[in-house]
Amino acid sequence: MSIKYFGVLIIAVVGLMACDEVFIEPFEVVDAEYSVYGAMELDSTTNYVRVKDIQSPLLADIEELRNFKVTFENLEAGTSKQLSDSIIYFNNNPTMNFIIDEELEPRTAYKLTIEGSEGEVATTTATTPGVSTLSLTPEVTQDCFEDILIEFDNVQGDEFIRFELGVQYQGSFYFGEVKSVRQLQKVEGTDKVAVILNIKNMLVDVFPPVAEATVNVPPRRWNPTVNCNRLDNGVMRIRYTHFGPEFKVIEEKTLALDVLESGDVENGIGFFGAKNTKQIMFRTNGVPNNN
Amino acid sequence: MVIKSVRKLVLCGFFFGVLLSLLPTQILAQTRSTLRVLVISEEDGNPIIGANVILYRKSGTMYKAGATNADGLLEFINVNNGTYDLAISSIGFESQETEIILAPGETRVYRTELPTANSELGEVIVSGTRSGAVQRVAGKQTISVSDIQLIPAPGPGGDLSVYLQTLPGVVTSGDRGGELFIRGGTPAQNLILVDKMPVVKPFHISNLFSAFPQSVISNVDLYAGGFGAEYEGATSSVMDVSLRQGNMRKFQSQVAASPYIVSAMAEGPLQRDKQSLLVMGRYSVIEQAGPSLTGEDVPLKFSDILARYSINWDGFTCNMTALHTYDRGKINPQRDISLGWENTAVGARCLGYSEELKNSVDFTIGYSTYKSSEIGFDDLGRTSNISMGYLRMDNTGTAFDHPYNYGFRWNLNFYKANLDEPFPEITGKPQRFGLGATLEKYTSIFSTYLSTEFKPTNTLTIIPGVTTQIRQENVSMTFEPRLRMTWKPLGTDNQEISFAVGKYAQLREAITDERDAGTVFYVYKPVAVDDPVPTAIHAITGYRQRIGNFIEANIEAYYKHNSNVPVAEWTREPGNTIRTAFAEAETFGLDLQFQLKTDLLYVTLGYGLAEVEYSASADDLVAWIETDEFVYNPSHDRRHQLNVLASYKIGKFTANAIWRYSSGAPYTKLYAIDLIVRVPYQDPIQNQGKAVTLYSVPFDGSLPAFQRLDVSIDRKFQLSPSLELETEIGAINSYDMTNVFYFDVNTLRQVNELPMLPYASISLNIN
Repeated sequence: MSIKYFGVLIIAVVGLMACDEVFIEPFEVVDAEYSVYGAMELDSTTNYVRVKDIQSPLLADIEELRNFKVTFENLEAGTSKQLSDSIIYFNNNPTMNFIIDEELEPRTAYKLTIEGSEGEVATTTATTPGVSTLSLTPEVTQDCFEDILIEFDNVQGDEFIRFELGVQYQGSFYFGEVKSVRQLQKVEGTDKVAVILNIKNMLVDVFPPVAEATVNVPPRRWNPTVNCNRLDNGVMRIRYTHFGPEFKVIEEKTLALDVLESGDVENGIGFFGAKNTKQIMFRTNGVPNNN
Repeated sequence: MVIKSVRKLVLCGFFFGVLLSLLPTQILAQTRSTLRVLVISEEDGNPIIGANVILYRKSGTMYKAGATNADGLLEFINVNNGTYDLAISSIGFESQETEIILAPGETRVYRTELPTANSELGEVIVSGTRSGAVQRVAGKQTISVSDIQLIPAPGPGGDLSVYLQTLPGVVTSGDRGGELFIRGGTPAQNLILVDKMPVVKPFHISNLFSAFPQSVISNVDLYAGGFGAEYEGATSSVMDVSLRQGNMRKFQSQVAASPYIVSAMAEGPLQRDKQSLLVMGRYSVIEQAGPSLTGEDVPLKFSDILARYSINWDGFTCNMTALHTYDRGKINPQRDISLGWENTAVGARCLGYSEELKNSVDFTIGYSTYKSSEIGFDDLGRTSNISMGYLRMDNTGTAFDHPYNYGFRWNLNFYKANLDEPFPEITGKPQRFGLGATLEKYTSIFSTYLSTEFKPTNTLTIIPGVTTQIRQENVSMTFEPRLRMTWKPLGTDNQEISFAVGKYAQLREAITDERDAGTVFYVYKPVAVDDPVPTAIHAITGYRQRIGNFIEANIEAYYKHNSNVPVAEWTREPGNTIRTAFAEAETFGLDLQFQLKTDLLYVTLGYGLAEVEYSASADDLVAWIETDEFVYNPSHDRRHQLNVLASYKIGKFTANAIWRYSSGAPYTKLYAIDLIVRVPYQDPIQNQGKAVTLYSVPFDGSLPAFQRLDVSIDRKFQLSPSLELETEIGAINSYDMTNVFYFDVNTLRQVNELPMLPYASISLNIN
């Protein structure tokens, strides 16, 4: 072969290489294909769960997003149905939120299955909690320093309860999760959890003291920035949430969700659970009527 | 407190310097003579670098030999008195031979001017300073203007940056960003000196340009590793750039233009043969011309200006240099991040070599600053600056009939960084760098070195040396022994075996998120007193063989082990931090170079094989990965590199082409793009959730291979005796190959390197 033909051959090979468009696959090939976010409310007739293909861009075309179907299954009853979606835009980002309009049963496992157009499947299961009742002893206190036994029944297995105190101050209701002074403890030999606190203790979580006032001071001696005397009245609320067992994995992080570490979604990330939220009112005579 | 410490150190440094200068530098050598040979070009009165100088005994046997340095000077110490024949030759100049008589104890300066030659024949290489692709000696490559000229560049004229990228072992992250990774080292581990003046980043944001166009360069010594004791403060490589003096005999100017850049240069004598001035300025125009040539936005802007005032008196030469570079632009045109950096350096380097001085004295003083920034669309951003004052003295001495080199350097550095979060309202992260938003730190480093040269036989040269750096903060001292050896078994330049080994320490570190090629912003900071000092061990061995008159080949194997390399901790989400983990890095490599050179044809073939492997504690570096030690190949691990350069003279034209190939670089793939809803506090129909991009395992992916063919053809026209027109046409990436630069996780788009860029450039030289 003469050098001239060799040169032509080199140019032809190089030219052919140049014709190829080069695209890279930016995503790791992984089992996890979908993210799932939702916490079903036991008493709600309509719940929503967000599902997203985690390798699709945020501003993708809506038809591009609809490349999977979601099935909701009652594992106790053996019934299932395909969920319809509801597209909600946030800052031009379309999000797919699937509608669960089925009446939920207590302590029942529900499975969500996401199936992609190419057969990839992600699943997650949420178990509804039981129905718990709150009892306060005494039901009415005479002042803000009187201890109250706060007790919830029917809390089984990995279920747990968090509760908030709500008070009226300057015309508005303020809530704070009660956790600083003492927390709910399991009552041995029963399915109850309980804690003894007074209203001043609980107000610490509604109107937290400034950080400097808590240094080297035990929480039970903390003072709220708004004390009982300044509340509008003695009518108070307790809002409590009874969490299903799936929440247990994130409970220790005070419900901070690590989407990658929750392990809740098989072949996916995110979290799917169920809870039961209720609210009661009680009163104390220790607050003057300031209205 | 700081001022007191600084004052104390200044005084210590000054007295130590004075003490060194007063040391008896010539012991028991009273009867020996010293001969200094200064070689000047007859045409412009400027020094000739790399001229070969041989001292023959009257019997005709070679007594001593060497090559002139960047000042055109060569010093023979310990010469027996007597009569000798002195032969001087250099490529492109007429050779010269003369008789020299040296009296006992005499110090003689012999100054000579070489006329320009019509033929290049007759030069005898004695010292390995010939330039060219295969001329590597244990990691050192001397680059000449003629080498740079052969590489197509969208000029006008060639540029050091483009040339460096044709060398095996030199890797860039893409065609933008101005970063060079040399034999496994990172840009922050390179030391760049311009006439011994440190310049942090003289490479422009377009990798086709640096602050060193061929028209101002005298020569460049690139040490890809294994450098000698006279260099300190870097753990990977040294680039020692020597600029040329302005013409000492006549005025010259040049104006030039191309679609990339316009430039103007003027030079001439202020006092014939005594003083000259050279001024050159360049300004990029690619931002304006690029879209019509490439069909894409090219948001890159850069400029540089260089001024050089030179004094050549008898026995004394001094060069005062001022350099300013400016760069601003976007690596990814779609991303709202504007990167910028500026170098400003002012310094003087003076060399005394008169007959009254027993030993020549080389003194350098100056000030150099580097300012860098990364600015978001809302003008919020981050800056990292370094200011360096430096003082340096290099000297020679003789002890027991044996010459040695020694020197000291004092550096006062001030680091300042403002690290505000560019987009706090969007990301919700007020301090992106985690450990506070500002950094202000003075450091003072005093360093010394000592080296000598042994020649047990005429064919073997051994250069041992040692360097030490002392920090003011904790008065800790590094110990860095070095050794370089060359052996020419045949006693000629046709065959050479070389070897280098050494230990290196670096007291400055630069932190960036290596996973994001879209930003070249580094946070520069001194190594913290409590942190381990980054060090490296280099070992290089090379073999060079010339076959006949036209063919030459070189092979070098190298190994680098870097310890305590600071690597920014990686989070699952993109983002930077100055919290660092300390990695161990190992680089193995082999460079092969082959050259064919005839009067009309010049062909080089270069192949580089390298593996770069980092390892660090996973807890410190990638907390989310469950392993004790995380091992990875960083983005500059280009396993295979192949370069083919051809230059052919056709009549009055010269055609140049270079084809470059390298295997794909590692990159970090994405794991997910998501909107994280904080269940149970957020309701998916009420809240968008937090937008996040999550990285996968760092550097687990591989980009496609890179390849590019650059071509050019040039010709000169003599319009009149005083007017010369240089023209060049060419194309960068001439077959329009799609080369992937990186995948931008912020815009979620693939960013490619430039498509085909045709260009035509003209230079008008006025003599």
